[in-house]
Amino acid sequence: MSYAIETHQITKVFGDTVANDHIDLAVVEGHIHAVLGENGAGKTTLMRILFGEEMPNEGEIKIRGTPVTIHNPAEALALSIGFIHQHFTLVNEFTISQNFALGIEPRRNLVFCDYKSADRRSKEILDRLDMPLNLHVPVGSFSVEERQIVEIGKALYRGAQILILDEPTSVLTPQKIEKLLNILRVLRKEGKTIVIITHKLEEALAIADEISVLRKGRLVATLPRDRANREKVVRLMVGEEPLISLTKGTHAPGDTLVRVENLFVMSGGRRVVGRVSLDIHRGEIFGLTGVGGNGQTELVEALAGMRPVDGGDIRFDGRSVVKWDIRRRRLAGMAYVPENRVARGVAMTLPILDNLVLGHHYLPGFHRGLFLRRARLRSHANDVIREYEVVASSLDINAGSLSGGNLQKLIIGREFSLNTPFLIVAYPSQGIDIRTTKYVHSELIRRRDAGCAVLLVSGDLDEIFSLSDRIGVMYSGEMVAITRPEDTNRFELGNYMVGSRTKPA
Amino acid sequence: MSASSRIRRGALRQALSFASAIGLALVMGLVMLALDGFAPGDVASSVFSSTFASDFRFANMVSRLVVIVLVALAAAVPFKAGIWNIGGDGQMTVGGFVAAVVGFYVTGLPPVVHIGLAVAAGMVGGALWASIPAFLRLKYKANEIVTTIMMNYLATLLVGYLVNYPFRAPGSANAETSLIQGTAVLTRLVTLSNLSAGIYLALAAFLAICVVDWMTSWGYEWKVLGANDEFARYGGVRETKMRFLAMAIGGGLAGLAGSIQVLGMYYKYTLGMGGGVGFTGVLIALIASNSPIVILIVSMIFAFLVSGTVGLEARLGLATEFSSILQSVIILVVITRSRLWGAISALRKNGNRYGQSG
Repeated sequence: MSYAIETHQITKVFGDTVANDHIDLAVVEGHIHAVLGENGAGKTTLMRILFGEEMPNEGEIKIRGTPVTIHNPAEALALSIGFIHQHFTLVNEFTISQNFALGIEPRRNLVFCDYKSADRRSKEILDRLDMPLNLHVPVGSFSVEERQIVEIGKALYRGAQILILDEPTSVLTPQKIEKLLNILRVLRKEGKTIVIITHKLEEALAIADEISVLRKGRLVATLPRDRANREKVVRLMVGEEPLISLTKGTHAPGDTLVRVENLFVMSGGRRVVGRVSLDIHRGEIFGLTGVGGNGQTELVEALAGMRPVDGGDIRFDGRSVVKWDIRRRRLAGMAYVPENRVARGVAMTLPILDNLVLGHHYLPGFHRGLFLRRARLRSHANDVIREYEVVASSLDINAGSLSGGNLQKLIIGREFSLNTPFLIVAYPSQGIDIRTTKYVHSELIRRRDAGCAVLLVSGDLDEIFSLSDRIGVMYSGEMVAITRPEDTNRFELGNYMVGSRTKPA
Repeated sequence: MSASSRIRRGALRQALSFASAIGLALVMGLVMLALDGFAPGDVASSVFSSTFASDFRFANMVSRLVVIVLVALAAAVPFKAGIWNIGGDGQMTVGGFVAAVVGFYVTGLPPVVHIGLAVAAGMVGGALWASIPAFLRLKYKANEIVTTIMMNYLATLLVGYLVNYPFRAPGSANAETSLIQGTAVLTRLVTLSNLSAGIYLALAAFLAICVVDWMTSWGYEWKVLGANDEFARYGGVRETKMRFLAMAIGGGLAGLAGSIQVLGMYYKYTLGMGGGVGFTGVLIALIASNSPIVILIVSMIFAFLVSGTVGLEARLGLATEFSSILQSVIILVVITRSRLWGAISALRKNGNRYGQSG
């Protein structure tokens, strides 16, 4: 067996996090190789290294047996590696051939672009893929799945023999997924090597010749298809170690504070949250988990008031808040640590002070009519900085000058210090060091014991297990299970996360 | 200690680079004039005599300053909140016209009340005129840069029609309204000059904006909106309301500028009296990064330049366009300066980052 790609001890570190930890991956020439893992397992980083978009800190890469160093995507292309990104890299205003030939246009008389010959080659490629697309309209007019095929075609046009696809099915409907998988089979028959990154187990089992599983930056196993089955792969994805429980007081929930009834949310014509109901009690941590992109984000945004709701009800302390804007919900007692921290959680160009008081500035005690009580806001901001150990020389320097971890602490500190009865925390340990994570966890438990209703969203099962009093798992916009940590285990949760509704036997 | 001193050093560096940019532009202006055959000494003395040499000239310069500061704030307040107001001219036109109408048609009021009423009407007129593009932007996402500029043309044409026909002063050869009542006149402060008691109104408006900017939740929410509107919404800032408010206040300030010109200088509305000063306001707001204090300083420089070059026209027979050329040179130099500083510090930062990660 000859290998198209071999990596030896590839390691990539971002700040405090090890994204890839000594990975040895081997992809057989002419095979389809699926790389599975939860969000943050390191799949995309590894592929970006292969495509020259990141340089590894350690390790080496061999392409078709030859050791190489790939500094940039152009060098990857020269080694006939093509990467189909999750987000399309097409010029929407251009036609297919213009996109295919961008930067490598065939010339006529040295000056003019020869789109006729580009059209011929493009048509040939599309015919092979059995996709008779119109060559004379801008690609922006195509549907999502058509544009994805165009992306694949572009890589082929540029001579790719090795195709890497990053979560190609995450934007497709089930019928279109089948169509895409068929195209991949056609390409395999032509002798292409295909690496498909996915977190959907069914797809990997349906198409792959080998399956590699990444967990927390490590390659835990590579299985040939005939030795892989659903149960085995789920176990590899979620790990075997028993889930440790944090020392926390017994669960003594009060009455229901937040009630979600049959919530329904649409986005871009797609149903992203469907018929979700759940209760969160005072003095309870409700852990919401699932593979990323299954509706958790949208559910949280609807709860926070940042996304309109298309059906159902949200009740806070008995009152329907569906029509309330964020400010009203915050005034009623909500705090929210958002998932997308840099875009939503801070203003990089403003001083730390301004970043710490947003959301406080209209609460009682911090203003007198229109006038802000600036001294109080400042001393409050100082308290947060001290308590959450945000390393900053002054409140007056811009938030943009803080390190990533300190920004996280700033956001978490700001929202926790509101001391609200309802707290939404999305992915609290994302991007912070272990010490701060421990502090945040103990704070969450302290808040719970003080009677706060906490909605914790996380993809990290250890975090979910050790903190939650109840656990909800979302798949494809629905709440497929609500259970308790003492009634479940890693394997069962893993099964729910990949779409199984029933308890495994 | 290190942080605050670093900030002070930063401010000092800003001020220094700003002053050197203006100085550089002035030197360039002098060189241009010298090439055209004007002795630098003559130029300097005639600039001085048309700005600081007499009460009258100084007062005229200050009256220019009043209008420039107001239109600059009219642009800066919406800019700060992340919504563009290029419509200062139109808002000034509408505000001035409304003030003139109230000044002429309303009679029998004591002076203070009449002035207050006319000024309030002018400000409301400007605010309403600014509300139209604000509404179109916030409700229908219509690009406010386009709509505010369009509203300038609309204001000129609409008010042009009104002063040509329904509101034209009887028997007048020009497109202008009748003279306002004596009770609506803002007292002249220096004989024969354009400087009126309107400066007190402008001063009050300036101070009010400073207070709003530094001490209130409005100023804070505008700042956050302008910096990252997604963050602002997440934190509970009511984006639509706050942006609408910023635009209306901007329009009101432009309306005040128009009212002061009508009630304190022309005593009637006469077509084209604003003379495109709204765009100067936009430029100053941009140069000053929307800070009221910096706006005041930059406006002073502009008022000095305009008055000085007007003097050059009168004394040395210099072309009227020279003032515009000099202003453009200043703007270019000042803007390039901030770009240059930005590029240099970005380079440095990147250099450091790469240095750290090895």
